[in-house]
Amino acid sequence: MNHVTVSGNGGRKMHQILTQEKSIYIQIHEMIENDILRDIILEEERVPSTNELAKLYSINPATAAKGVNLLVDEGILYKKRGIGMFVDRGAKEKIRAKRKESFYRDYVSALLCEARRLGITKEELKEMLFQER
Amino acid sequence: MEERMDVQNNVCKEGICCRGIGKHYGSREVLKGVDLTLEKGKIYGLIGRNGAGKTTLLSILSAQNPASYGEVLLDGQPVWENQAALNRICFSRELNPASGLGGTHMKVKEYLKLAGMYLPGWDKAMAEELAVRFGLDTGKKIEKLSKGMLSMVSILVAMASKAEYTFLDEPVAGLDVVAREQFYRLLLEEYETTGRTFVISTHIIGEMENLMEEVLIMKDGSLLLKENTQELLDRCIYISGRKDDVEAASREHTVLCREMLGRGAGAMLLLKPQELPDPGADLTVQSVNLQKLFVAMCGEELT
Amino acid sequence: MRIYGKMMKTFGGLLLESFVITFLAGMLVTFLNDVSVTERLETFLEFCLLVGFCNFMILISCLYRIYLNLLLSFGCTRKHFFVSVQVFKVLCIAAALFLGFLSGIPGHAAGQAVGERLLMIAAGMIASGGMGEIFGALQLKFSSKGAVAIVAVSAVLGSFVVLTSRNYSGFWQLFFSGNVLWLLIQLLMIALILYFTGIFAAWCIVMRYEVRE
Repeated sequence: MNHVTVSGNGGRKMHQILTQEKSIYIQIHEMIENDILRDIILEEERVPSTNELAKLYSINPATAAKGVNLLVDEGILYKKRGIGMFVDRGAKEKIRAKRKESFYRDYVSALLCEARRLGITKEELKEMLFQER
Repeated sequence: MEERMDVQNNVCKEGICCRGIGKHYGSREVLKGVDLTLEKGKIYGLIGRNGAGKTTLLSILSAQNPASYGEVLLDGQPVWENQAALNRICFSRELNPASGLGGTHMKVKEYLKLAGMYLPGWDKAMAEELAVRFGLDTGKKIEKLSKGMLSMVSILVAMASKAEYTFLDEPVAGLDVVAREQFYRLLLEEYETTGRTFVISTHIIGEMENLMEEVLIMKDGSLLLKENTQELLDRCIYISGRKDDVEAASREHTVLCREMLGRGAGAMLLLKPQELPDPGADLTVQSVNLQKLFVAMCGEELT
Repeated sequence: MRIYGKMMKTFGGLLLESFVITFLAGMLVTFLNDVSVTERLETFLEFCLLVGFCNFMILISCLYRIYLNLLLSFGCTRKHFFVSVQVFKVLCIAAALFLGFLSGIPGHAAGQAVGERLLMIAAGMIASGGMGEIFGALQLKFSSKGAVAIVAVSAVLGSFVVLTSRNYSGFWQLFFSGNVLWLLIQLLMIALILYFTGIFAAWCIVMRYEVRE
């Protein structure tokens, strides 16, 4: 049983390291993703600039840029020269797919591991899951 | 990515470059072999314990004090006694009225007028606006100012200088938390507007952690590291669990500090860039903030 | 421009004052013909002149003590500072000479030539300039108290040497060989020695000066 576990609520990171407190630029990255998922920012709409983000969260613009650039690299945002960053078409789907893929790794895997450690059987797990519905 | 200073002059063509800087007062070595390149347009944080040599380094970089050996270049030209270079640098030190040197009998506005005469980029409008914003009484004599007000004055000078390379030595010492927040906001505003290079030394690491793009850590006169803050924090983790598990996992990595509690143990590891810890153990992995990292690197062993 | 700024900031006012007094008084005297009044005024004017010299000395040493640290912290180069001080000194000396020339100050004896008057002023200004610079430089290197101590000690030693060497009358005869002009020129030479010592000391100390808080 070789796993890396996390104490407290599960955290997420791009690498396999699970951390409790995430780097700021990761948080920016996730925050924008969440906003896209919740339709707070729609596709083809402008995303706050790195300077605006920096001012909002009192962080260095370069750090904000790091988070934003991750999204550009993933094809979720694209840059319009001189105007700013915009949400790419299909971004919402892309985010969903990406998170679905890592859902197992980041949540289920940890859940199974912890359950195993606590001696919770598969049946008990099933019960808990259906209870939630 | 650390630059290697034994490279040709290409590295030193831009920014402030210092090579092999050392400083000693008699037999006491205050700085030892510091190699450093400050690139344009970044906010650098300079952290280190008292006496680590931060102020001395800043003085030497701004040619206010001579180095015992080594040289400092700005865009390839030495800064020492070079008015053209000094026009682009401003080092605003902490003012100390008790020193008896300088214009402590002066009023603030005279002091600022003098600053305006010698700092080429001086923005008088900004100075006046900041004075109002800080609630600074410019008619007061410097020796009569409170500690907080003195900090404000040095911040004011640094900001209104509009110098390309601006150094601040513990600007927030003496400021209360609200004033500190004001300063951070001002810093970001100014950085956004002008893209100036700032080097700010501070003891209040937690508050500046997210503002500094790169961090410079000094200890006992040497520069321990200079790295992008986020990248540094990404590669520092704290693992905890059973003693043997922790020991096994830490074996191949740099351990910054260890803690023991009964059968359990914890260790702070500094991984190499892009390295991942060995997931082969039942350990708790947490990220570390800059302050904890600094204390682990520069604190003495606490028994 | 920067030199002007420094001049503005100093107590040049005090300096000007003493010269103005001398000047005005000198003008007054030339209009008066009463001998007794003239004599009292003479001593008063000589006193003013001495005050002027002391002022200048203090002024120069203050320039170093107060402004060097401050201006270096604003990014001024040491060379520029040093040169500005030298220019300032020369301007002050020139101004003093000019005023002296205009004021028609009566000399030690009535009817003394203009040249001698000017020599005296020059010697006095140059000497006090040099001493001021030395004192200022000492204050920079050692604290103010230290500088005072050094000056006091050297003054005591110096006067000791002078007093004991009275025996070597030959040496002194060279000085007081009666001719006032010759005396003045010798004083001027001593003044110049002091002046250049001052410059040298200041240069050495300023170029290695470290900004402190």
